[in-house]
Amino acid sequence: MRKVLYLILLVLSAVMTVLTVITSVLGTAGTEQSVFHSTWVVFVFAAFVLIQLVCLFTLKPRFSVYYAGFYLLHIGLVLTLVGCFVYYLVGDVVNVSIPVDRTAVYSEILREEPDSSGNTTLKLGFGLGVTDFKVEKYTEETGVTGTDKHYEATLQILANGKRVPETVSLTVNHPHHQNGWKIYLMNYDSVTQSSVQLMLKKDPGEYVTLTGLWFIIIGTFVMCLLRRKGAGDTV
Amino acid sequence: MSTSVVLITAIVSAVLYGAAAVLRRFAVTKRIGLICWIAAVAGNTVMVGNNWVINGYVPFVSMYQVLTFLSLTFCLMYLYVRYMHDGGWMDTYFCLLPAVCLIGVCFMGIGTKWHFPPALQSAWFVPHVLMYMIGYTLCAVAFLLTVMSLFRKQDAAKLDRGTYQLVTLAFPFMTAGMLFGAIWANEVWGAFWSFDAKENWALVTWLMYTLYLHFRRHSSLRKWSKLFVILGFLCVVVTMFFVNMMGGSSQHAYS
Repeated sequence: MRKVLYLILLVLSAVMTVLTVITSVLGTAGTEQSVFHSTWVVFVFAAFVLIQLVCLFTLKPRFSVYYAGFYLLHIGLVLTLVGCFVYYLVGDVVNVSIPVDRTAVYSEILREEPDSSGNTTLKLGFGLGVTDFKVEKYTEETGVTGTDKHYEATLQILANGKRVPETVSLTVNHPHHQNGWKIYLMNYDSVTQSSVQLMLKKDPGEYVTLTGLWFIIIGTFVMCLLRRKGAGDTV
Repeated sequence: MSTSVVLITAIVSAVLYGAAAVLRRFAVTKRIGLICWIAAVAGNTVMVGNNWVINGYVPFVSMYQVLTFLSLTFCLMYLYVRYMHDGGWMDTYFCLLPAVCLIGVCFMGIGTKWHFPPALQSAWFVPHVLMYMIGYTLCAVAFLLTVMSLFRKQDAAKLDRGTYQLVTLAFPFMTAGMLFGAIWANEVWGAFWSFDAKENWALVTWLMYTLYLHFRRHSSLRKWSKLFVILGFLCVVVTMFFVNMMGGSSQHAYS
C-alpha cells in the first residue's frame, strides 16, 4: 500500500516538474497562470489531498514525537489545499484603479471581467475612497536614486450605517480588513501620482490555509528535528 | 571597504577555505587546516559585516550579498552538525562549498548599491531567506556526499547515512522558507501562491526531497532515493541562479 502511495506521489511530482519546466522554457508572461489554474491541474492537487488522506487513515495510530509531527504535517497539507480549494470555488478578487480625490467615495466597483454569475460590477457593502497619496524615493545617499522607498495611500472607508468616514493608512505589506474583504495597495500612477491601484480580495478559506501552513511547518520540525535518533529511518 | 579590498578578501578567504578542505583530509595537516578555516571564516565574517554596515539591514538583497552570507552559513551549519550530530567527518565538504560561493562572489557586482523596495520591507523577509539558506547549504553538502557515495563504494553506507542526516536537517528549514514565503506573499501580493517560476521551482525542489525521504524509507524503493538528492540539488541551483535568467514575468525579479 505504502509503495503505491509513494509511486503516486512520484507521478504527481513528475507532473509538477514537467509543467514547471515547460512554463519556464516558454517564459511568456501569464503562461504560469493559464497552465496552473486550469481544471486538470486542480485535479492533480485534489489527488494529492486524496493520497494524504489515504496515508493518514491507513497508518496504525502510534504515539511518539515523530508521529505527532507526522500527523501535524499531513493534516496540514490537507488543510492548506482545502483552504485553497475554498478560495478557488467561492473566493473573489478585483483589481481597481481609484483616483486620489478627497470627495469621492465608491460603493460599487467595475470588474475587469464579469464574475461567474455574469456580474460586471462589485457591490462592496461599504464606501471606499482614496483621499491622499504619498511616495518617498531613494536619494543618492540612501541607495539607487529614483526608486521607491516607501509609498502610502490614505483610504476613506464609510461603513454601512455610519455617517462619518473612517480614515485608514494603507501601505505595501499591510493590507486593510473591511467587511470580509482584504484591501491591498498594489501600485500607483508613477507619472501623475493621481491614482492608486488597489486589490480587493475575499478569501473564505484563508484561515484554513494559514492553519494548514503552520501545521506543516511545525510538523516537519517536530518530525525531523525532535525525533529520537533513527526514528523514521526504518525500512 | 573599497571594492578592491572586498575582492581581495573574497579571493583570500576562498583560497583559505579550499586549503582547509584539502588539509583537513590528512591527519598530519589537520591542525593547519583548522587554522586556515578559522582565518577564512574571519575574512568571510568581515565581508558580511561590511555589507551589513553599508546597507543598514541584513545583507540579503543582491546575489552578491546572499552568496557571501551563504558561505558563512556553511560554517555555522558545520559547527551545528559537528557538535549535535557527530558530523565532524564532513569537514572537507563543508569547507569546499563556501570556497565555491566566494569564487562566485568575485564575478558579481560587488560595488553595486542595492535598494530595499517596499515589497521587501517586511518582518517575513529575513526568516524567509535565512530558512532557505540553512536548508540549501545542507542540501549542497548532502549532494556532495551522494556523489561521493557513487564513487567510493567502501564508504557508501557512511556517506548514505550522512546524506540522510543532512536532508532530514535541511527539510524543515526548506519547508519553513517556502511557507514563510507563502504567508508573506498573502500579505504583500494577496495570494499564498502565484505559480511564479521561482515559486514553482522551489516547490519542485521540495517535492524532490520529499520523494527522497519517502523512497529511502521503503526497502524496494530505497535504491532510487539517491537520484532525488541529485535532482533536488539541481533544482536548488536552478531556483537560486537560473530562474531569473529564463525570462517571463517574475514577482521575484529582485532575488
